[in-house]
Amino acid sequence: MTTPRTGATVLAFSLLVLPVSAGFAQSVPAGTAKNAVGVLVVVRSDGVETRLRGRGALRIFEGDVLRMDGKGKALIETDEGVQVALNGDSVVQILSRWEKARGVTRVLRVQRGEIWARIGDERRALEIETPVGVLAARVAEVNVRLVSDNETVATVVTGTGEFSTPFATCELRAGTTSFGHRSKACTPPAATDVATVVGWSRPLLP
Amino acid sequence: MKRPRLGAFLAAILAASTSLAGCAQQTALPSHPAVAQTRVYVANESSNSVTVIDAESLKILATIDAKNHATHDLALSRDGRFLLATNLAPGRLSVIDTTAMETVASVFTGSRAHVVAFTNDERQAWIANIAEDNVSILDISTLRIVGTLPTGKGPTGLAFSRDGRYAYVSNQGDKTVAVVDTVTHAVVKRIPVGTNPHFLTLGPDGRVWGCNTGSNDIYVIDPGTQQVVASFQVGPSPQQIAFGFKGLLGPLAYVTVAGFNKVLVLDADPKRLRLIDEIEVGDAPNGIAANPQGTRLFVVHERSNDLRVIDTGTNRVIAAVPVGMKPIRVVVSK
Repeated sequence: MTTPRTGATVLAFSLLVLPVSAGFAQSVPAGTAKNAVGVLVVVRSDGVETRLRGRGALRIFEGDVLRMDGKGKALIETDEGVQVALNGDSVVQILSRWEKARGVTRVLRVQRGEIWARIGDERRALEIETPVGVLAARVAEVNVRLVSDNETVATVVTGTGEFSTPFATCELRAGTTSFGHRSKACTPPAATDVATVVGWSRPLLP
Repeated sequence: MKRPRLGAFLAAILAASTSLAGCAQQTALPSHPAVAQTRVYVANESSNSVTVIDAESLKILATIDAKNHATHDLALSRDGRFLLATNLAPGRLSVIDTTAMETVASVFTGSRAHVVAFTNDERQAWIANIAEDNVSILDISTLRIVGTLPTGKGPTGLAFSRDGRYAYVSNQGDKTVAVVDTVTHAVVKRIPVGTNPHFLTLGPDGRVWGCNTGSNDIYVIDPGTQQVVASFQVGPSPQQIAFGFKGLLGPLAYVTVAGFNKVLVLDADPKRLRLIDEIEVGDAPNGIAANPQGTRLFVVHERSNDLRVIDTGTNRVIAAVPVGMKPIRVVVSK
């Protein structure tokens, strides 16, 4: 039988431990939103919303959905040191993949719009998913634009990247672009004017 | 760019198994072929684990932590070397190394990841995400999600045709089965079925079988015509289907009917779909799978938390094995 004293001890222990455990399990830090031209809406995995206007340091967690409405732009930095910019009218979910052999890989799922990213650490990879393909890169500057649910444009500005659709993988070198269309292989990399492609992100950078 | 080691490891396993199969066809049969251990894997939704059982001795070999929550569906590679498990709560897929008996990767696929199936070439796995009304496509060699297909509202079942040309996705919200062309990734047809269509199973003759959990019947789709060619009322809350033989009789379809606590035995010929037998089992039978010979059925019960073994020769339960809490799905190595 549980004595009142034991019960109180158990209750006190529960109050101390449970909220911390639950919080840790559900809210894994993933990065920080640092600048928003316009309003960046961050939707937590439980549906709670928070916003960043202008410069700041809003914590981003695994599972968060970042939404940039209208013509605004926003800059975040992941805890792995990857800079990510969202263009206007964009929606991106912050995800990851865990592998026993490699640890955690940061994954960004673009649901709408366009993002730019700069990955500076050889040990860290970034993957940007869209409904028709995924761009994987490390030590690179990349841009991914979801034209529609059926079309994606992947561009590598510096470094190299690997753009995969369900039907093929295309190796992209600096200054090249590949298109992904639903039900088709990615198009062979073609030279592009990267300054034009990523020009939208430049005003955000420190 | 280097590919992830785990993905490369899985790809190597697949490549090795393919090449070994090729060798086996070119060399003489061994005089004493090795008997591989047949294993049974059970997804325990409320224990977040997978129970591994030796199909012959029925000994529990391991209980694998899925490193996720609400483990629901399973797909086993043809060579049995790795197992994929969906997890409803986090929307993630657990990748399990069946040699090491441990989870070696966790991939986010989509909200409420429900069912998973390998494509016939095992280069990809498709995962149906109920809350996103789509199917995610996982590249097995890199473990990357390389695409997403909108298939219908509330996808809950997934199976590929025998030739791999079509994927069938049951959609609870639409009361349909979407037929997806695996070459164009287009939904080429939506086949009306009943209420709450759930798991789909490829039958022994290449037809696709499914249960309507809400309208208490099963249906059979012919990939040749992409139409329902037969249906049959089985009772409240039918869940899953497996196929086996009773001596010379068969193939037979075995349907778990959760509301009756029974497995119903039907003729598996859609032209002669009729009740042959009823087998009393445990509380709320759900997952069912047959051994490769079709002589044993393994049934899991989500309320009595056990696996029961049916001998198809006698249609009797011959053993019971306790598993984790709320077991949903069972698969058997081939």
